[in-house]
Amino acid sequence: MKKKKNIDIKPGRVLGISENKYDFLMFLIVFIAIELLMSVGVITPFYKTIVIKICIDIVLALGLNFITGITGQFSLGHAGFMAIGAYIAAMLVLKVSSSFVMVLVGTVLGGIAAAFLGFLIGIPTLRLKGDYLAIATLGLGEIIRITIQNIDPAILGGAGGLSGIKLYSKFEFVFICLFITYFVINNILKSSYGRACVAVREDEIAAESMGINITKSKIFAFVVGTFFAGIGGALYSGYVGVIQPKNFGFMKSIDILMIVVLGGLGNINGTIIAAIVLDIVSFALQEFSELRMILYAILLVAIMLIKSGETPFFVKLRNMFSLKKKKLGESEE
Amino acid sequence: MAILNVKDLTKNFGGLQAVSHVDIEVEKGELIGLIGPNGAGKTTIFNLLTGVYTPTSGKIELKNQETGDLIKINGLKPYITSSFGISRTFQNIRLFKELSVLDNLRIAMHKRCKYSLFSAIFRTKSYRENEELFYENAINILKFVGLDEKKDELADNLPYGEQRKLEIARAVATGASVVFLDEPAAGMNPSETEELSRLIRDLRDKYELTIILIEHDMKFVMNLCERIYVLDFGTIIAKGEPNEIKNDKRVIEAYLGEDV
Repeated sequence: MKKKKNIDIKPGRVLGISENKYDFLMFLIVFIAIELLMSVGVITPFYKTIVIKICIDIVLALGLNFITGITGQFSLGHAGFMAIGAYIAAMLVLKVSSSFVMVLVGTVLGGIAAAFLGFLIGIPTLRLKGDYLAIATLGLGEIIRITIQNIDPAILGGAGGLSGIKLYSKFEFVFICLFITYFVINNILKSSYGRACVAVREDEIAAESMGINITKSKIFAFVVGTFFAGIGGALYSGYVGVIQPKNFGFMKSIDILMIVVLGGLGNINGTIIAAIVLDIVSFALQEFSELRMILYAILLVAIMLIKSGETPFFVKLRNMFSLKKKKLGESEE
Repeated sequence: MAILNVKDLTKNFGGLQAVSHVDIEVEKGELIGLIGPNGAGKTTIFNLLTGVYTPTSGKIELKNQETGDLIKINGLKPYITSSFGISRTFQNIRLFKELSVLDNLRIAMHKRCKYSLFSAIFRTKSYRENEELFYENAINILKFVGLDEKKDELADNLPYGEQRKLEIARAVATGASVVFLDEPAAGMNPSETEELSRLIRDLRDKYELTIILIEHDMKFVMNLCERIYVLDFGTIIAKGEPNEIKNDKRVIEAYLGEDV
């Protein structure tokens, strides 16, 4: 029999992408481990909500990472697209039926609607670059939120939002969504479509000269990213049970962006780890009530310092607090 | 019949006429040199031919590989001209630095990607076959330029000379028939330059390319190119074989100034 050729489909340094055969096993092990711990009672219902929150954040952050980390398009409107998914899923579950099939339909429809809007919005805005794009997407996210807020309260609940949504985001459902997200994004990255996106991030002029339609690649990335924002939003509404426009403000986008930046732009596995770390930190800090936001901010600064550059963290810390002026030419150890 | 036909090409930047009334005709398989003093408009011509700039007036025609007739390509975007078989390198190297050598080449093959997004996600047969083809193609080209052992290294970590080579390899990997090289020998030492000129000639023969290059290293151009166009202040002041160019009075004037 002809031996199957072992082809190498690593996409170079889109960091932290692992081969699929082990991925599935990894996810299965984690899934079984969490299920076991829950049945034994180590993971109490309170901790379970943290686990679900982490999974939802990973879905959202993976979507944003595809736009910002992999294709290099700075988007600050992720929460807006999340709102689309959240409201569509919530409306379907509230008004039509709360069966599992409806939840599934709602989640998928939420994703598709967000992706469609992402497509429409992407066409004009993705011509912008860098900071301009960030501002434009920031504005669009706010437009979505304010539109929802001002539509007749009889339909979308206005500023009060929708409440009494069945808590359909069970751990199993959310975890499967997370796996699908990871699987899809990882496989896209290892294909020519993913490589085209990375090429756009690396050098637009060179990419275009090599036959890549950069506008198309950017819109493609935006559609993929907003699709998962919609999915994440749908999961979110089934997680909190009450959704209000103010949940999907600018700060929510920043929260997601923080996970992406912390995990390393373009780094898939890093994003997952960052989501876990940040969510655990923010839950752990809940005991400190008033000090919580300050501690959280300080921790973020510290983590960014540890992560950035190649100088060891302690040297950086020493340099930051050292009063002596460094002489020219003195090397950092 | 010419593979590339440029007629009366003009490009104005505001009041500045960077390129004026340039005619270039290139036969299939030729190795053409484009020389001239700094600021003569050489790179502008490359940018016009590859679609980065839109010409103010004039006509650029390229022979269609399949049907054999000439198609007008002025003003088309770079990714479209690329699909007609034009490819290039850049004066200041523009590799995808954070990607591996292999991926740099595979990105260049993107337009030959036959599988759909669906098969990419589900790893269908067409995905695997296509990727295998990409891989083999890329390795073949890398072997030819002598970079196959460094396929997994980041492009950014290659030494300068190899980055230049990789950029040429990437241009070839697009499957182009006409390749523009913008100062391929810049910053190379004499032995590297010599190796490069052998490589360019070999690539042309192997992949049946038509190559047009800009270069300041006269020895390199005179040895390698079969025909040379000399550009000064946006106009062609001389064209012909290296020997004719060497002795052309106007060329010497352009480079060294007039007799006192």
